[in-house]
Amino acid sequence: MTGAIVRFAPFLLGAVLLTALVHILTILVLPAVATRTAGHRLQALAAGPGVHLAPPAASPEAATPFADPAMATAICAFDLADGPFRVRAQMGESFGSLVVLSSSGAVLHGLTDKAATRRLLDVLVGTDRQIRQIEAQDSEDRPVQEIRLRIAPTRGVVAIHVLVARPSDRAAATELLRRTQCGTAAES
Amino acid sequence: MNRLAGLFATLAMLVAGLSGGVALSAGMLRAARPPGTVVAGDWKAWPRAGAPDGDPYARALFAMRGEAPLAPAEGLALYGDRDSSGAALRSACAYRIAGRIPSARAWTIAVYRPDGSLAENAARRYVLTSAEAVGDGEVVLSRDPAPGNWLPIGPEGAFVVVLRLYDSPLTSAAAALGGARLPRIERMDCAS
Repeated sequence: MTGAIVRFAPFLLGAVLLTALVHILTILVLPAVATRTAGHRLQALAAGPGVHLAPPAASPEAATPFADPAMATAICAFDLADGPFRVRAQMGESFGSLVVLSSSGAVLHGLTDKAATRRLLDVLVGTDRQIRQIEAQDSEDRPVQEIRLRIAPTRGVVAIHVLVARPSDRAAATELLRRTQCGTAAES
Repeated sequence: MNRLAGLFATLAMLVAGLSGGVALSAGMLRAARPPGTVVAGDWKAWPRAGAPDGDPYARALFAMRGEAPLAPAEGLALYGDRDSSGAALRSACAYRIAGRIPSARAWTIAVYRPDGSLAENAARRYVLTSAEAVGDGEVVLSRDPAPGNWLPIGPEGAFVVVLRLYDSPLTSAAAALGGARLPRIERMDCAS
């Protein structure tokens, strides 16, 4: 009996080590291979250029689980292979934010309306290379007004949220989001 | 050890290791408190789920659920699925969110089914915001309407209450969450 245990001990140890390795790998890889992440769900809503309003969280078409029903949300999908992506989002008096998400649903950047200039969040999203090229063309005389966000993934979505403090504010929040401009930098 | 036994042991090792690793990950992510969960009073939070260098378990959990986490700059979401006595929240009971809600530019409270869809209710009322709250901010969660700050919780089954603090000092000090004074989720009456 003891002899059998000694003979099979390396296999038992191997199974334990393999379990630990597979566990770590699945946890790390899961966001990249999952097909129904928040990034995918929001990307599906934003087919085509321009801004798309997300269905309210209180509707059966709600995009993501556990979404805040007090938030009105607009989505822009980007592909940096076409060039850097610009978003100009008008903010109101209520809390507002802009979040850049990768396809895997990871938050790459998040800003609130506190970063807005005259209630405008003017954001340029690009790869490190694209942003460096733009910086190289900056004039020293003109201060940079936009917020430049460097990201590694080339595809994802920008979600713009405006808090609907009272139900009667929803129409105004939706109108604000409709005025969002987004597109490849050269086009917008 | 003969060759056949060795081959069998190797195969068993591979099968056990691969299936064990996957099962371990699934079990940990489905646990009541997956690794990476910050427990503070009656609430759970994943404050780093929305950070680029966030906790891998929290990121995997949100990817699996398909949920978009709040970015740290936006605020903090606190999830409650148990009352202050440790019992699961269920629609047969009424609950009171008692105590001061931490300071924030705005807060919202919403009630969901465990799958993350909103708790259906006849009043079609799904959220209470800080702008709507009256008095000291105490909120009642119940099937039947209650005076003051009331949020319906759906006709039956378990539910989850989520308190979101937008633009809150708690956001940047997530490590201090454990020491923060958070409201309690107190059970009131239950239907028999």
